[in-house]
Amino acid sequence: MILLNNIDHVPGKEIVEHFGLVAASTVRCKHVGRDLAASLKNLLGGELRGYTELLEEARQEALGRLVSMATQRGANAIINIRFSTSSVAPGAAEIYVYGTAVKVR
Amino acid sequence: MGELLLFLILLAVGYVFGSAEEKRHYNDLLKRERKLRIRMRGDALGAENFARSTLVTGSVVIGSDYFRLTLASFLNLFGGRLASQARLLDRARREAVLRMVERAQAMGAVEVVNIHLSTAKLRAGCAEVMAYGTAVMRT
Repeated sequence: MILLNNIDHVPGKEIVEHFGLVAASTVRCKHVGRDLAASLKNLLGGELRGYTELLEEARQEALGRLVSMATQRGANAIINIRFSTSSVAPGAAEIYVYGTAVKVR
Repeated sequence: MGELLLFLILLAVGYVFGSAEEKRHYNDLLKRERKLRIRMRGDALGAENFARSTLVTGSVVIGSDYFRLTLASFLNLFGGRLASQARLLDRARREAVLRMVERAQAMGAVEVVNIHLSTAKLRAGCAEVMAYGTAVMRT
């Protein structure tokens, strides 16, 4: 199992090798049904659960890609992870995640 | 005439439901924040003294109601503070951080360090706030 965090070291372990920057992104869009529900919810205010779930799934997918990129290089941990979300079209969002792949012991 | 009536009805519905939702959410946030037992901070000083760490995230997408959106568009003509949108983002930030810290607490962490917040606008009056940090454990 790969180790993930967003600080510059791994507590309790020592970094023995660096594999450089790894980055991954996903663009996800909702289907029309959920977007319609979101538009209705926007009348009343409150959390738009469909969108929250969409972005959570997109983030998990992006993280998964990040992890496979890192393990391909031989890393067993990714440090200094940062996220970025942007809206690319109404109802669609891009999640970008990047970090430093390292090997720890 | 019918359109004006619909518009006024939507405004009223938005106002009533939006105000109720905002109040409910603030009460809920206060209740959950009181239950928190772990420290949270934006720096990572001393993190090397812990035994284990892992990335934790929390996110939420919150939208404004029709009344506040319309009001904001109107007030936009005059400039100045948009208190309703400020409250929206305040709630979203607190909710995202709470979700992240609740997850960390469930994992048995003692602190969440290096907390970062990221905000993105998805559509008019609707914003996503994401909070992420590193949960550290003693064992």
